Amino acid sequence: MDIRINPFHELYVTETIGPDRFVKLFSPFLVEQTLALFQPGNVILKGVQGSGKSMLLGLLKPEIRIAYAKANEDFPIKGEFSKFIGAGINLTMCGILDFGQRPIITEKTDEKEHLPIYFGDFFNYWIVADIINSIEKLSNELDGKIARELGIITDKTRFNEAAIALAADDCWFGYFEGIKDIPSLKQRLFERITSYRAFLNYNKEEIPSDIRQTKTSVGIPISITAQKFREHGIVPKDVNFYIRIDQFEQLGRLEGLSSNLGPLYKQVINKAIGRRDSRVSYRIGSRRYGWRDELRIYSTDSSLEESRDYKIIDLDELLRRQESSRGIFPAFADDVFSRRLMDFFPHEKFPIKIKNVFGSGLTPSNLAKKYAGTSPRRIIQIESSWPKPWVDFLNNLADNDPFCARLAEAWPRQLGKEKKEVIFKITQDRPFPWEKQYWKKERTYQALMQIAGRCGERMLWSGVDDIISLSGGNILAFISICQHIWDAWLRDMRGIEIQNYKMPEINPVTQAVGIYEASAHWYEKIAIEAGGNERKRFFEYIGTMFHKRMYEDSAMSNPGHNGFSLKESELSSDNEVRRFLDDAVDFGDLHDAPHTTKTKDKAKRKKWYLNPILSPYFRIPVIHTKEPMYVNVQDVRKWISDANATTEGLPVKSNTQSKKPSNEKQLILFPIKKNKD
Amino acid sequence: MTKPMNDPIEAKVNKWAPSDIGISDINLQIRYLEGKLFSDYEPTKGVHPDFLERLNTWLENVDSDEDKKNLFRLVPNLFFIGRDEFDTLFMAAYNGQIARWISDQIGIYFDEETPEERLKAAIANTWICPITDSMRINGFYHVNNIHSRFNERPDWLSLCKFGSVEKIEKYLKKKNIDRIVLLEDFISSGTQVSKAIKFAAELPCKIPILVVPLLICPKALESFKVLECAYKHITFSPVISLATEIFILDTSIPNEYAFAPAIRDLVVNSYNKVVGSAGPHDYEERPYGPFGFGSTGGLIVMYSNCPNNTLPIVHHSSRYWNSLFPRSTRI
Repeated sequence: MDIRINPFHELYVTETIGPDRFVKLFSPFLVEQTLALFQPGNVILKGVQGSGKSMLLGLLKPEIRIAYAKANEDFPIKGEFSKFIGAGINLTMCGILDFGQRPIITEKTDEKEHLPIYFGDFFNYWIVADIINSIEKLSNELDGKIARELGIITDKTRFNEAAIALAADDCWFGYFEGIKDIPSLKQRLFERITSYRAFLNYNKEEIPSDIRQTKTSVGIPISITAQKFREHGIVPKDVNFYIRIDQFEQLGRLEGLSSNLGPLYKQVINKAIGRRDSRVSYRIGSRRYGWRDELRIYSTDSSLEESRDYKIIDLDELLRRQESSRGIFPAFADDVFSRRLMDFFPHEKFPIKIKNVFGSGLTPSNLAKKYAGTSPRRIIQIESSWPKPWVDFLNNLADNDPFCARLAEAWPRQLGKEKKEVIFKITQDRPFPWEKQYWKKERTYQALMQIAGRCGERMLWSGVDDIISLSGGNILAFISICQHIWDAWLRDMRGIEIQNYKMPEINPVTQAVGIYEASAHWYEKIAIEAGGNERKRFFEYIGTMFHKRMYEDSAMSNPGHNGFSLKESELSSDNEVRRFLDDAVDFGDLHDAPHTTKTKDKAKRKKWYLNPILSPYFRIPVIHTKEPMYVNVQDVRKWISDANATTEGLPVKSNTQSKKPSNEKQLILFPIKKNKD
Repeated sequence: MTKPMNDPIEAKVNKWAPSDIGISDINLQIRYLEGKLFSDYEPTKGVHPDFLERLNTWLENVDSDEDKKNLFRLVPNLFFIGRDEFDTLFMAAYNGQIARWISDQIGIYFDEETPEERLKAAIANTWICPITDSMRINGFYHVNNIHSRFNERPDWLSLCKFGSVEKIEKYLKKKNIDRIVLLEDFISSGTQVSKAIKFAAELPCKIPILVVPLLICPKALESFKVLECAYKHITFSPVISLATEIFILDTSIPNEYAFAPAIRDLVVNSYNKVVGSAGPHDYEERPYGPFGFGSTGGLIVMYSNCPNNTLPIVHHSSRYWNSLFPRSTRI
């Protein structure tokens, strides 16, 4: 293995890697937190890009299970939870999104009426074919070891009888007439899928009449298939059928002829879920923005209901650091890190911790000394009214401990008579008043940010804690940071012999270079997603504003002003701003959380922070401490407008808010500018 | 407390980054271009230092950080034309300029039933030659899969010096050549190639000639317009005409690069160092002036060599100056 290859070069490990690599790279840390995925009932697995949805859904694939057995590794799903047969569809890869790229015109019906039906029909056939495929794989590979473990029996006669019974069911409307065994059933399923594909790609004049006259109702043939295999003793009653639907968000991205069909296709899948059929359970993997608005069930006036029809597993919520604890992400990241390096350093003892390579980072005191360099006194700003002894004290303190000096400088600037008195009653006894545990802790990162700025230095991010914090609970962000650090290290090692197979210890300066590059990369890639250009302008605006406010806050009174807070009641009255912020959260660019207000009205509030990985780019602390900026919805509206973050310019409303509740169903994000008067 | 960076370029970038937000991006761009293009520079194949080493010594030519940064910013703006880019230019010339000209010559219309066959036949009677020996004519034939019946593809600059008009005319007649295409990879001022073109234009048979520069500078374009007026049977059709704005001229022009003023000052102020001069009358070799041959101020580097009208700070070496892309004279 070439030591100069970046082990983190491959950011995504989803459908693109083979089962063998999956076994090596998959970190089972999340399994325990997501056990609902391996229990009956419909589950929506949602998370931002790179949160690990496809990896988790991958565990449902038979080939992954087989790969674990082949590698003699324990399958991460144990006991009762492992009793399942997985089948599924990746909406991007199977061709189902092509429905709509070619009009299906008949004399009697509007295209919009029957395209969703065809969509559902293709879905049914694909899934049924995959269920049979899964059963065969589990039965054939490893001499049927896994099938035996699950109690699956696929002797030829029984399997063929099940095929005949399945083919004879009314749900197919006679399409399978004459089917005598499993091979002929599979052949017929394959023919139908191929016919659809050929038509959609203009290789066939029309959809054959035997298909047009036998369209199935979404979900029903899938349930019948599960039922028939159980009835014929092929699959035991305690083995569940889990149907994966991955890349669900793609239904919201259809363009051209299909642009209005996305919501209808979602409704079709909702219909399958809404059947509440115990014979099969669905697992939908979707980015946050993909599972939000469209819960209606196709051609009914009902909608799906959370808890009753489905459960949600929110990977972002699961992985993001809670205010009270570090959560499970650090251990998860450590495991992912170690697995990535394993192939590259065969002589090392695993597991390897992030700390082994990136260290603990520099202490605030050392960081301040690094920024201050040989002229530490530049880190403090003297007020003309301060007495000379205090100024001398600060200067001397800066020479020895610049971090402490910066805290000391802020102390008398704060409110309170007692604090102001320190400049006259100088103490040499430690701990100094500004070294009080919480006061200091809350201001550490703001102080460091200011020291770096005053010395004309870039903030130096390094070490395991910084890397974990900047990852913001997103494993893709974590790998991306590691990738950029490793790249910077390789660049820095140009011309220097790298000791073969020895795990490097990458120095903080090199890490800081890589982290900044990762941050800039994530900032640039905001624009890639739908509406990304507008959001990027907004983040540039608020990121710069946060930096300026925190940098100029010489009293360090507001160390939490790297985020903002709004009253929930106010937000719900402004649909446009709410929608804008929701979008930003769903795309992972903003992180939100409810929070306890410190104001007298005790009104419910919500706070927002930039995705932590953007902190180095905007030179703002990553930590969320104290109170965020308390703003009203008009302020946010003005930021959006000032940042030109809308396509048509979000008008600034007058301060008198309309009491009329906004129409929740209105989906227009930025309406045409209204007359101001 | 912390170790500085090992790599001198990384160390420089890291030092500049706090006050120069875009410099890290430029560094990454340079690294990318180094892998994709710069490392393929032919004159430095072999025992020469690699690109990144040359880059570092090049930056060390100047003393101030500001000048170093200006040089650094210049690098991703060099128009480096690699092998693949030339192959693409070959294809573009053949399928574009040449095919269109021949179509016009023989009067092919859209509604014809077999235009390809007529075009093929016309190409078979077209003699495609280089103007100078820097144009890799073999590559042009290979990339475009041209099966020519002419074994001879002389460069016309040599031909005008050593060739015989009578023999050429005899050859044209014997081989039933209906037209000539003259190709050149890069034309800066046109001074050198004009001789060859005039020579071809003045052949008594007045055979139609198409001149296709793959890349041409604005100055040459002007002089070719004059030639085109003088010789009605000559057509000029460059593949890429370089815009004036992408040159660093001795005086400011509208829409020039944002960094142009800083580079302009730098090339003038460092010229003595570039030519290895320790005083007014002490110099090794003058590379035509601070802005290169004909004061063109080019930023072009080809994988095969650096043109002499590119800024000498890029390609010229002396006892006081190390070049980034050392020019091999007379390749």
